[in-house]
Amino acid sequence: MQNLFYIRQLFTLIFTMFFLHIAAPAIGICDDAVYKEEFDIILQQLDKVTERIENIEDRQGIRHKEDTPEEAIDILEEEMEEFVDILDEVEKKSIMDQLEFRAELRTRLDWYDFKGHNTIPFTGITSGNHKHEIIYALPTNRLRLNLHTQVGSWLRFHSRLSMTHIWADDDYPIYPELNLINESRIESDISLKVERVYADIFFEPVENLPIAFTFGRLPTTDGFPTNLREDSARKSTYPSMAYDIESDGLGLSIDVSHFTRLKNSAYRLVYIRRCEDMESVSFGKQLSHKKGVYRLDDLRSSNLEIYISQFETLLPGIFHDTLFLVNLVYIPNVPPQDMRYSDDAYPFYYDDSGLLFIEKPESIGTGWKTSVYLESKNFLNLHIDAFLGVGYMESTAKGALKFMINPTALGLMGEPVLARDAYKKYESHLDDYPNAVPVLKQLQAAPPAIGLINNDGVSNRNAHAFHLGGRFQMPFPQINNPKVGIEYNYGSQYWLGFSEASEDPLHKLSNRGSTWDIYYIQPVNQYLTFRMGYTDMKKDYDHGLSFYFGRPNPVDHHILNMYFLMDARF
Amino acid sequence: MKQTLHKLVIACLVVTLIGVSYSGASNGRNIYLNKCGSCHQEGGDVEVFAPSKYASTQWRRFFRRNKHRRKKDISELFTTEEMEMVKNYLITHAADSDQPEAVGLK
Repeated sequence: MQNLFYIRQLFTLIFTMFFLHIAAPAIGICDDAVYKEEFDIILQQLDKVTERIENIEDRQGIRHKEDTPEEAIDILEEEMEEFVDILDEVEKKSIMDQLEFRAELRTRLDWYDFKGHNTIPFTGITSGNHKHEIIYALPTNRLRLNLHTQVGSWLRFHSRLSMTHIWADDDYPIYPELNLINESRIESDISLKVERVYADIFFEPVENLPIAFTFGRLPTTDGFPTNLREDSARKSTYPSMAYDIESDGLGLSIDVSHFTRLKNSAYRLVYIRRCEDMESVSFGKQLSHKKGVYRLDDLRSSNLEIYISQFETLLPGIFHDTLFLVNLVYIPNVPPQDMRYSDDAYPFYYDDSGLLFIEKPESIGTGWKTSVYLESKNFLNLHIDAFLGVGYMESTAKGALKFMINPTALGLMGEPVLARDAYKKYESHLDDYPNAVPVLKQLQAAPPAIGLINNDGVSNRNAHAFHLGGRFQMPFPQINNPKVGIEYNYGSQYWLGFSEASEDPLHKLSNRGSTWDIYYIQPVNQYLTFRMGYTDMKKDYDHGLSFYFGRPNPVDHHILNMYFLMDARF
Repeated sequence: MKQTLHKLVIACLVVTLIGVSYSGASNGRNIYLNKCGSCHQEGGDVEVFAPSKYASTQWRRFFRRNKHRRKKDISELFTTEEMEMVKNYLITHAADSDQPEAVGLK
């Protein structure tokens, strides 16, 4: 600033000297016209120099030109117009960019320890020696791409694409029926699969009675209390012990908070349907012979329809952070199992000799399951998130899938009988039919009748289960408040968990037995979390997933699972 | 089964005792509801706000620059620890935080 002042003084001095010593004497010897022309040139040069000095001063902030109020308003208007143009651009971009895109990557290492006996199929009879199998650090990767958009206040769209696979393994397990309900959540190939994609349409036909209509592949996985173990927000409509399966369907939710005076009160009715065409192709070989989308495959399973009714609310008073859910799952007709891929049942599906055939009713029964679930965040200010779920179910038998033989094909007299019972029935007559003996003896290993949790097609069942636990947040902010959790669940002999798509690899809530689960969550920062856990599962009876076909048989399986996982969410 | 029940009872007791030992301590949500809510309430002069008012980065900037001071200096109403807990609560429930999902959930 001081320098500029000197520069300006210097220019003025030079000009004055120039004028006094050169220009002034010239006045006397030149005529007026020449003088005027030269003087104009000098004035112009002076103006230019002055302008340049002022520009330099402006840039340096030395000279401050006082704007008139009118000029200031004009400048402000110009700037406002510029801001509005910029805001329009930003708004347009945000409108065009409605899809919110998030990703989750999980790398998990699992150690498994299995102890127990194999059993003879369809029986509880142990076979072979006591087994002890160990798997060390099985590594898996899981990718989830979550997409959300709120098109308007009346419409929301959600979707999740998932991939889970064992490192460098690209096999795809062929379990046609099971894959339909958990294919995005069990280890398979590296393809992304649609785990959920659904739209909510909100409207209010009656005052104070908001309704939402939902359609698509619904949020029915990651059921409560997976949110505690995963340290995430609620991600499912239902408790895991009620229903934790990938499902397509329609939903109607009615917000009844205005009438109950309870916060977040809602009644939800969901209709789910599984239409399995049973067409399956593996390594280029067609395993079924579907005849066209408009025609029935003669071996296809019937449709399975599921109705789920649920009331949920936050409780009042000191339990204001406690979520209460009561839930009813109703299956009006259970179609029989398609067992064409079973080694034991395969010949019955494809026998052209007339000896073996299948007797298959439209439905093997009906079933319902009810559950009550409570989850409290920071229960009574104890830094504990606690939960309790209890479930009860009943099934009514209406028949069974039967693996039959036609005795006349062997020259024997009589009506068709269960293949496994034929040898016993005809034992006393077999001396006259020696050729039939080896066949009938072999068929004793054929599957029994397979009904709804029974092997006779007539036995009704009931079962119960419970699940409780808690998660404690440690008051150590310097290490990001780690959390430790403990869970226990028990399911009785005929319990059906419907939890094939659960987050835990053992699907513990379908266990017909007891399971302990403990875990430790260490948040690193907002985007990175570590978790380690230990699961101890004792199975009293086999199967247990939503495998409701046949009587559960006793087993002595003891499975331990220890894991460590890293979650990156962004 | 009896042994399992014993284990369950012991586990519940241990967890409750641990919790009780820390009971009385407030959490960020309670402070947000009680202290922030004392001014930011329905029908009051100051607008009600939800944590989803800002994204997590904006909440961080809000606290770093003490933006509340422009309206009112609240530093004497909160201890440093309380302020940190409210900040954490608002960040973990910010507009860009993990959102719940269920059929028809608004």
